[in-house]
Amino acid sequence: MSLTIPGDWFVNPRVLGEFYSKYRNLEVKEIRKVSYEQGLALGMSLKEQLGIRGEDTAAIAELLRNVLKDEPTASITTEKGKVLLRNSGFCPLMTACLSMNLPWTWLCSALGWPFFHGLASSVNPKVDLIMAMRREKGAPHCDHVFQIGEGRLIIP
Amino acid sequence: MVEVAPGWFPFRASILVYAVDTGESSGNRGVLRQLQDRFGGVYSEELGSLEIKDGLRRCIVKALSDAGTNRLLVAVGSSGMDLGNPSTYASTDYDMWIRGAREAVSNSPDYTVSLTLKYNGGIDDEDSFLNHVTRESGHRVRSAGKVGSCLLAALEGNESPLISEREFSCIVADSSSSRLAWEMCFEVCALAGIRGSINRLYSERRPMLSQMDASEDSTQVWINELLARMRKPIDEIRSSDLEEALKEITIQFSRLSTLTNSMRRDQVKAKALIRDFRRRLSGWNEKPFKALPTITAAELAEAEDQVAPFGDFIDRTEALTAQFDTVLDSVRTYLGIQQQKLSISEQSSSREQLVQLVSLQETLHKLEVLVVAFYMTEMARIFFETVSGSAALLTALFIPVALVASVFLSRLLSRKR
Repeated sequence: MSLTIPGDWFVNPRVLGEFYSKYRNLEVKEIRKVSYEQGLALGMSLKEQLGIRGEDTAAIAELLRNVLKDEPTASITTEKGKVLLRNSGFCPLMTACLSMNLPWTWLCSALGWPFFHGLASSVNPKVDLIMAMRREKGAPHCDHVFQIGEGRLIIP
Repeated sequence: MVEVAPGWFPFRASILVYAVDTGESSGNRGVLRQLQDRFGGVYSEELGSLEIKDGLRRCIVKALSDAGTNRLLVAVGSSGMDLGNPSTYASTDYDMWIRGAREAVSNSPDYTVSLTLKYNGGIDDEDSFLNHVTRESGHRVRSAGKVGSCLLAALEGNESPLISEREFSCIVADSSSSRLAWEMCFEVCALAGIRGSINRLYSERRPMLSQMDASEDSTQVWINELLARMRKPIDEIRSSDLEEALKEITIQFSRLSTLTNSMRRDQVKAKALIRDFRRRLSGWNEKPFKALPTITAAELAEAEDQVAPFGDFIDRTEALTAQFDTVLDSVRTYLGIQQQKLSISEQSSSREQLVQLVSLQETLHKLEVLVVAFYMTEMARIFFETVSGSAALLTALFIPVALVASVFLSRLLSRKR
């Protein structure tokens, strides 16, 4: 079964529902790979459009700010070689999960985080994404920490 | 469906409630076949049960399914049991079957109930019942009641909001003890199914409920920022700012209304489950026992408390939505004022254009008169040159006549237009 992820999955709950019922039994690793590629492609095109140069955390932060410009409750800060993306507002994935009765953990882990990792990797392929805090585990907000490392997605 | 009760006394039962996995082909019955492979026994597809015998020891596993929930009732006992002998109840020989059933269920249960049953031999008063239950279980009694000829006690367990386990102890005080014990098993099993569904609904929504405080805070901060931006003098607010604000509000507004409506849907589901739960419990016709709260009251209060955060979530998201309405009204007002200003400036600019147009037209009329007079004079000059020797004088004298005639002609034509 060839895996395809619709481009508007992050804004369309119906697409998420269909995607989950189709690929729920597929290995998460495979879905992550495709979602990472999707993030990477979007990142590359935005980087070119916005004229983002460099491979440092400032460039990653600039890209993320542009991607999340319509998310007023997402804050992006940089410090000591790290970019912290904190989302404490009402998450679009959470909204989709609640309305379509989908498993939040599965969707974040298979689609959400790899997508953001792919986005940041378009700036620097060695960037690590560490999911330091996760709302689907009951935390009050999601903390995505980007730092230059080995290009891994780390879910503690 | 009326369940057929076996002839032996079940002295221990375990009920596992778990979600139906839509990807699972064999479902609940698959668990029974798995247990049959491991422990042997007679499997009945029709009754959805597996009966295992080992000497006098007996075990029955019943698989029940309804509306997205699977229930597995595992009851153990002995066909040759001395009901009056306390030592028979303490035997652990039967635990492997109960453990086996728990292991066979792949999903972690939404709710489990342990039920111990005993014939009332030796328990002759109420105090000795409570002492007996506390001693045997190691837990305090949280609620108890008389259900028909049975004394039923619910024991204290974990106090977390996600109540996933419950322990009951039952004393059967009747000669037809086996039948009554089975009836109690099936009743508790039915109740556990509903309670498990409530528990699952709550556990699925728990992460969303727990991040409400943080989401509400950050959204509130953003609303305040947006309102602060709106408080600037009207001339400083650009229409692109309003457009951006409108876009952000629309996204957040739609997200919040989806959340509110989805949670309302779940609240309705929870209320329906609680109604079923209440109906089932009222069928027990439970009588109070000593000063303890009845099981009916305690279990109902607990289930209602568990789903109460659904309503709180709805109220809080609705309060935020109402604030969005205020922000939207501000944006609309600003847009209206800007539109009005634009139309006033458009109106004044078109009046100026009209004045210019009228003056241009007047100039054109004057020019028209001059042009006509010039042509008439030229034609007269040609005529005078042909008929007279003093054509220049006659042409000069004709100029005022030509001007008067031209004015007259122009007025005549404009009247006709």
